Amino acid sequence: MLGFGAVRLRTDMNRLLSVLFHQGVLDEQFLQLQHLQDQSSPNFVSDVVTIYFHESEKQLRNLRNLLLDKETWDHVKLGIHLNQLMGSSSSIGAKRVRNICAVFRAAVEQNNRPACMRALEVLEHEYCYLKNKLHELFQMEQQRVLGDAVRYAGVVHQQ
Amino acid sequence: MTTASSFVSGSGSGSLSSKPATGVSDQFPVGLRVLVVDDDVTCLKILEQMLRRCSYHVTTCSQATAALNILRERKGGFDVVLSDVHMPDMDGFKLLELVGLEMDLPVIMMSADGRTNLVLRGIRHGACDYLIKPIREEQLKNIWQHVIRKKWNENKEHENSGSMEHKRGGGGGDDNHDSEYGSSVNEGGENGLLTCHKKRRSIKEEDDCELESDDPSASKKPRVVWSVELHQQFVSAVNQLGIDKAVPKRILELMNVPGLTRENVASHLQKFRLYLKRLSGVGGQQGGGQNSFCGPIEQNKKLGLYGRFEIQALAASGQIPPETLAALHAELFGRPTGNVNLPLVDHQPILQSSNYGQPLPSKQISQPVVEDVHSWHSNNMIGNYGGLGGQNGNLIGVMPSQQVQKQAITVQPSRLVVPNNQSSSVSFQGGNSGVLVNSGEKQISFGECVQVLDQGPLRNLGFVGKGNSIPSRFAVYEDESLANNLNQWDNFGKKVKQEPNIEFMSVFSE
Repeated sequence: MLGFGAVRLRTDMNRLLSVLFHQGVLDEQFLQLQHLQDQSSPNFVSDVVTIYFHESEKQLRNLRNLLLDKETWDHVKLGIHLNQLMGSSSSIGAKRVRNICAVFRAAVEQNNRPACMRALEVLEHEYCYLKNKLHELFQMEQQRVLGDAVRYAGVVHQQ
Repeated sequence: MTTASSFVSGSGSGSLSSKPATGVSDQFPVGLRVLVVDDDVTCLKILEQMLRRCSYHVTTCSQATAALNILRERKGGFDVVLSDVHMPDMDGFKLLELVGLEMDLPVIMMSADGRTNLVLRGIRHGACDYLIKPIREEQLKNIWQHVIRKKWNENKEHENSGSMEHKRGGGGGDDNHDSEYGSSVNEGGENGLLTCHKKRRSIKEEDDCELESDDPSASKKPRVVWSVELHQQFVSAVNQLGIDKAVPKRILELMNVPGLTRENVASHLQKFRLYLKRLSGVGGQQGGGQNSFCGPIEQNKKLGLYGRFEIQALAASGQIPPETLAALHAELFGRPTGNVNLPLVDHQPILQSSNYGQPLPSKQISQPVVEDVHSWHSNNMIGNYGGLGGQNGNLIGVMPSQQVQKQAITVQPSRLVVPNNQSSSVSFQGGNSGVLVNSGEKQISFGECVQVLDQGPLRNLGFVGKGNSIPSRFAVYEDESLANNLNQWDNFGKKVKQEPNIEFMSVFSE
C-alpha cells in the first residue's frame, strides 16, 4: 500500500514538473539544481528555493515601493533590484519570472511607468504561481521521503 | 624560446604544487581555492554547491567589502575570485579593480545582465571572464584555466622583461633591485627574482593609478579614443622616455593632453607593449635571407603597377627583410637633400624599380594617380618597418641605421601633405629632430592604421583592429541590448524579444 503511494507520488511529481516545464514556468536550470542535490546536502533544492523566495520577496517589496513613490523615479535602483531578481530567478530556473524581469527592465529603461506597473503586477502574479507550485512539489517530495522512511523502518522492523 | 617554455612549465608547476594536494599532474584542479562574492544569497548558495561538486575549495562572501578584507588578510590564500557585478556596498568593477591591483588574482565577473557594454566594461577593468547568470556547472569546471593562463602569461612577461633588462645591462633604477636580490641569484632563483621585479614594478605603477581613479566618477569617464594624432603624441612621449622606462605618469606629463588620465595611458601603454611584443614574435619568424636583395625590387616594381596590397603582403610573408629595406633606403634616401638636383637619369631607374615615394620627376607627380600611389607607398614602407622591424624584440632598437629613421621621417610629411606640385621638396624636409623620429615610430606601431587612412571608407575598421575604440563602436548596439541579452535564452518568446514593452503580456498567453 505504501509502495503504491510512493509510486503515485513520484508520478504526480513528475507530472507537475512536466506541466511547469511545458508552461515555461521552469527551465532546465531547475534540473541543474536537482542534479546538485546529493548526500552531502539532501535538501539542497528546497533550501535554495526557500532562500530564493525569502530574498525575492524583499526585492518585490522594494520594487513596489520604488514604483509607488510618485515623486521620484529611481531607475538605477529599480534596475539593480530587477537585475538581482533576474539573476536569482534564472539561477533556480524560474524562467517566466526571469523573463518578466527582463520586460520590466526594458520598461524601466524607457521610463515607462505604466508599463512598469503592469510588469510588476504580472511579476507578482507569476511569483505567487511559482511559489505555490513549488510548494506543492516540495510537499509531495516530503511525503515521498516520509513514505520511504516509513517503508524502510518497516523493513528494518520485519528483520 | 626553449628557455621560455621551460620557465613556464617549471614555475607553473612550482606555484601550483605549493597548495595542498595539488600538482599539475592528475589532481590539478582539485582544491582550487575560489572566493565567491555575491550579494544574492540564492546564487551564492548554488555557486557554492556547484564549485564544491567540482572539488574546488570554496569560500563564499555576500559583501564586496568583506570579500576585500578576506582577500587582504589572506594574501595568497586564493587562486581565483568570482564576483557579481552589482553589489550594494561596492560595485563589482571596483572590487575587480582593487583585486587586480593588490592581489593580481584572476577575477571572473558574473551577472544576469549580459549586455555588451557591461561585459566590455568588465573586460576593460581586467576581468578574465564574464559569466552570465544562470551559471552552469560546466562553466565552473573550467575556471581553473584562468589561473593557469594568468600564471603562464606572467611568466612570459617575466621572461621578456628579463631579457630586456639584460640587454640594457641593468642600467637605471633596476640596479637597486639587482643589488637587493643579488645574493640569491642563481640558476634556480632567477625566475623568482624576475617575479619580484615584475610584482614590485607593477604594483608601484598601478598604485599610482589607483590614487587617481579613486573618485567615484572614474568608472563613468568617457572612453578615450586613441586617434592617430593622440597615439602619435603617446609614442613620442614613450620615445622620449625610452620604451623600458616609460611609465604612465611620465608619459601623461609629456603628452600633456587635458582629460587624459593615467589610467588611459597605462592601459594604452600595456597594449602598445603587447603590440611591440607581438611584432617581435612575427619578426622572429621572418628573417628572410639578405641575399634576396634583388627579389624585393622586382616585386616592388610590380607593386607600382598592380596594386596597393602587394607591399603589405610582402611584408607579411617576410619577403622584404629589414636589412634589405634598410640597404635600399640607405641608398635611396641617405643622400643629402641636394640630390634632388642631380640629373634625373641617375635616379630614375632606382626610383622606378622601388617606387618608394621619393623624388620622382615632377612630370609624374603632377598626375594625380601617380601621386596617390606614390604617397601610399610611402606610408606602406613605414608600415612595413613596423611589421618587420620587431625582429630584435625592441622596435626602437631595431631601426638598423640612422638613415632608415631619416627615411621614415622624410616620407611622413609627403603622406600628410600630398601636394601634387611640392612633394619632391617636401619629402626631403624632415631631416632634423626628435619629433620626426617619433612620427616615424608612430607609423611603425600603427602601420596597419596608416594604411587604412588612405582608404577613407575603411578608416573605422582599422581602429577596431587596434582594440582601442571597440567600446565606443559597440556602443552603437546598446539600443539592441535587450535583444542581445535575450538571445541567450533559447526558449524566450519571440514577441518579447522584439517588442518587450508593448506585448509583454503575450508571454502568458500560453
